[in-house]
Amino acid sequence: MAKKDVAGTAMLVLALLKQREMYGYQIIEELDRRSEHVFQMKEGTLYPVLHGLEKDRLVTAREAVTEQGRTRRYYAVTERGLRVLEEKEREWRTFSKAVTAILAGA
Amino acid sequence: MNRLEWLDTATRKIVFRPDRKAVRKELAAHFEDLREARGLDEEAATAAMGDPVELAEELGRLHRPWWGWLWRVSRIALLLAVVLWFLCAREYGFGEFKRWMYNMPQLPKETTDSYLTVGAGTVSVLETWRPVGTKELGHYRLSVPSAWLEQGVDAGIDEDGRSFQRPVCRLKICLRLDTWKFWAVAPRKGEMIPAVLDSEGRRYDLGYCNWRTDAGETCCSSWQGPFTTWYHVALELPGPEDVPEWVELSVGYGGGTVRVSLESEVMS
Repeated sequence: MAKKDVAGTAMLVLALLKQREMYGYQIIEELDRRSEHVFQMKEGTLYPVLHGLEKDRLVTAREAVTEQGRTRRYYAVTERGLRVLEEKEREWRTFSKAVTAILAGA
Repeated sequence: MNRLEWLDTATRKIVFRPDRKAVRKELAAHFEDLREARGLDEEAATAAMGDPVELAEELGRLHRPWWGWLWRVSRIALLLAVVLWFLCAREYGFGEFKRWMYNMPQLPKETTDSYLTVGAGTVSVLETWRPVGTKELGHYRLSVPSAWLEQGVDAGIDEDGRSFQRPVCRLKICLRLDTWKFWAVAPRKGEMIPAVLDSEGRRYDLGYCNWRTDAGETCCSSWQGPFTTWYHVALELPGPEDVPEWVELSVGYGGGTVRVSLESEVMS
């Protein structure tokens, strides 16, 4: 996965986790559903993103056992993660505005 | 490729074992969530999980082992440090150890040096000796790193609670007992040096003494660390001109005697 793809996916994951804490499969499903199938990831490729966010202390993780006895790791965004997300959203809006302006003039 | 092979491949580049187990567990849970939610068989679910080789590279880059090992080593080192500190402070405690060490000249001092004793009296070191020689006592090695003559004024509180000062002259002998058996409890001071005889025919029977209240008594104190135990033998002399040529210490542990010749600075 290209580095910029990871960066973009990381921002989307942070935005999802801003709503509530989620586990891996939930994040994949939410990304797919809310983007109307635009962002469809291979399941395993989410984890380098999640673990990278955790390493950078942008998210925290906790384990919980389901009724079926399966251990799931739930991720939640940190204060630091929220600040980074806000900055990335600002960059995205600037970028998006610029692209729209150029396309409109084309 | 089946589920287990996929998981093994995807996590093979994570060198730190605890991390590898944790990530494998997380991926396995995701695999089950995927199969259950979409009703996929193992083959389809494995395909949906993605390329395990590429995933292994990324996970291996993220989960560096040295962080994990550093964390484990530092926890073990901290535990060892606490245990060693406890062993070192076992006999008298760390504060007492500092006072005890302060009373023993580590290096030859000038004759005009002075330092405070416990109890706020003052003494001057008149002369120091560095006897050479060692003696094997079972798994212990006995040596006499230093001996010194000190003179000064002892201050203290008597039995009636009155403070006093009196001139005093002492010959102090430092003994060192080394062993590799750090768990061994060293002989108690009374057992180690029950009696001393000097070349002037004076005999000193060492009893328990408290430096702060029974100043002037001949006594022995000790301090035990994990590999080394120190003993200080203090012999009160009539005056600085009464330094004996040698002193002979009865050694309770292992029997026998140790002669410390001050004139030739030899222990035998």
